[in-house]
Amino acid sequence: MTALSGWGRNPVVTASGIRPATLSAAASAVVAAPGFLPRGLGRSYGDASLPAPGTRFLGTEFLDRFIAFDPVEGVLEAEAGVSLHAILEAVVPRGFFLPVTPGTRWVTLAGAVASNVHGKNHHHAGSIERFVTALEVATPAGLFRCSPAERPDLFRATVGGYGLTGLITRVRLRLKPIASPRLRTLTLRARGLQELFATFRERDAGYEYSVAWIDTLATGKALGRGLLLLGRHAEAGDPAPGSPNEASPKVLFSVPFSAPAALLQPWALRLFNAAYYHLPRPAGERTAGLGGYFYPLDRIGNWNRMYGPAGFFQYQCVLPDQAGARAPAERGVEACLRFLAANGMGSFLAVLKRCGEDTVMLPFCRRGYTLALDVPNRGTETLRRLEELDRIVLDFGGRVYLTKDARLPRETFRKMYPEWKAWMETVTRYNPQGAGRSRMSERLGLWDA
Amino acid sequence: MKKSGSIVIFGATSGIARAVSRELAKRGDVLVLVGRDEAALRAEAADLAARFGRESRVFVWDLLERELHGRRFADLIAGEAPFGALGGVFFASGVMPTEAEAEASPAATRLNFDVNLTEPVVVLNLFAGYFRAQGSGFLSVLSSVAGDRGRAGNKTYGASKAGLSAWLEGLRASLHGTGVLVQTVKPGPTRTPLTAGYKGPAVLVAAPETIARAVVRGLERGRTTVYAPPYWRFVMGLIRLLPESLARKVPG
Repeated sequence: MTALSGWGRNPVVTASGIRPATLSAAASAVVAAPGFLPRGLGRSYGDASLPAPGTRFLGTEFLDRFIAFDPVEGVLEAEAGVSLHAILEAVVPRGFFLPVTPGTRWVTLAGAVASNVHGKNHHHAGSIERFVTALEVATPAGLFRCSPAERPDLFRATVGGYGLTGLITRVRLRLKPIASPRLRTLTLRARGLQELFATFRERDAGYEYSVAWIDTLATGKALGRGLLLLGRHAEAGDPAPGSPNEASPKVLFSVPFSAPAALLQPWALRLFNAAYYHLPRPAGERTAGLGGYFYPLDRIGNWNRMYGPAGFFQYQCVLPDQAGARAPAERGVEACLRFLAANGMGSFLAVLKRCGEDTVMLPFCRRGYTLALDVPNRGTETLRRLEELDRIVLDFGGRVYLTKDARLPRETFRKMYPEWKAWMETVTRYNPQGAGRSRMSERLGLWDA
Repeated sequence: MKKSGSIVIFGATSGIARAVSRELAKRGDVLVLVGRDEAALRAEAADLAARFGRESRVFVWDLLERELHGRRFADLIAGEAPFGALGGVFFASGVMPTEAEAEASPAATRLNFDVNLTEPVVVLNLFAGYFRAQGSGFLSVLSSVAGDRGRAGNKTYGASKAGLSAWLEGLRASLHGTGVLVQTVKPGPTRTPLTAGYKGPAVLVAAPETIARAVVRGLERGRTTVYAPPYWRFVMGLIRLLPESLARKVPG
């Protein structure tokens, strides 16, 4: 038995499992003896990768082979457990980048697909679903290849399907050609929320990537003040950088053990946020490495230990632009921020991004904004506050991202994701016994469909 | 260390060998992947090709087909001849029965000594002769910290690795001055499919990539004994000093 948790270190479960050495061993385990939940690097925050009682985990650690790479077309085929880090190491020197990347390199390819990850370019490029050209999935009903054209039902239920159809064994991914391993970045300060929205609207058309960091403790006229971090891939002729252009920055330091709760006192948070906001920023565009822009937190090993032994929740919601309403996404963001500020629910990392539309069976991203924040786990008080936040998100037609979630109540989930029944009908076509249940799937009552 | 010449990887589908192969291919070495299962070897070769744009060759050689070692060796050398001289061998074939399995099964005990000690010595002798004649090359062989002291929890596995370490020390002495490097690699517990049954403290379990970097650094610096991670040199140094009456009480 092993103690397992997601990146939020909450909840913790004990489970037994296997770590097959080869794809064929992994596939036959799932097909012959269903009852395994796939688990990659454990970077989803909540309980999506945690086995429910009676379920064992199937670790993809040793399924880490590249299968083929076509350097002309930029198409990579790889096994489930290959990390984005390994992909970047191999393809950046050859002029390719991930078409979509989350904020860490330490996720597996199959995990990225199962979470249908999005990045700082979602409003232009969409989620990873658009670049996955084929999958092989070991389901309890057998081993299948699928793609947008072949078995599209299995494809659309497996991408963003949280491992419930079975184990994704192989992934074929179309990469993005880049002319330079560098970025051109621009940081803009916004003194309040309306200025931040205006800056998004004016400036991010010229940049493929955009993300805003928000000081969630600012109130009044400063509510929603923050920094807009824009980026685009450099052209071959752009000036050379002053700093090394590593796709994989070195870890600067690691948090060696759970930090005492004292570090998370409101004054410390206030100090951090004010300092981060006011820190002098270079004016104008500068050249930067890929790693510093896309994976800043990868420089701090085990940063999740900062939140102490009780762990934390990450709350990520999308606030969509609804037809007919005037800027509802912006009003939704404002309502969330007002709630956070009024309740002193500051976060070191509150992040605002623009969103396009997902097309999988259980889509998270909707055109609008997505807001993500870390919330230290202080027990029932925290849960109660987050449920209040859920109600605001629901009022604005939004939804909470399950990859980050450890606590969404079942009824709220069903209102946020009306597609869930149709999705689970497809899941149970390939997994008729409901084998390999995650703790999340039971918490959300998915098998009651 | 001479960088030219292909490197032969025995046990190329094992966890540590795979990490070593990647580390070597990353710096530009051409590899000959040796093992029993051709399809599995081809999957590793495909991985290296896709990752680093490096072609490697595969060669099927089963250590338990002991009457075929001479022929396999000759075939491998002949097959490699068009590509130039061999640069070295990294030898990682091995099995790790649990102590309970070894005690209950004579077959498991014999397999342990055959695969971890007897056949490696026979095969490495062939390559030692080749490199001695060539006047260059290396033999980097995976032993284990388990061979440094006899312990209740892994006495069978540990004894085979102790024998292997002792033989390598002797081989090093006999090849002294010939230009051939004999390197004994002693990893601690490592996260590989081989150690799935390991029950000790998780902090002592290293990633195979850590071992691989230590091996390649050791080759570049001509180190004769590589503990990986390096703190095992210190730990085992202390444990070796303990009298048996105390060593018995060290957990693990």
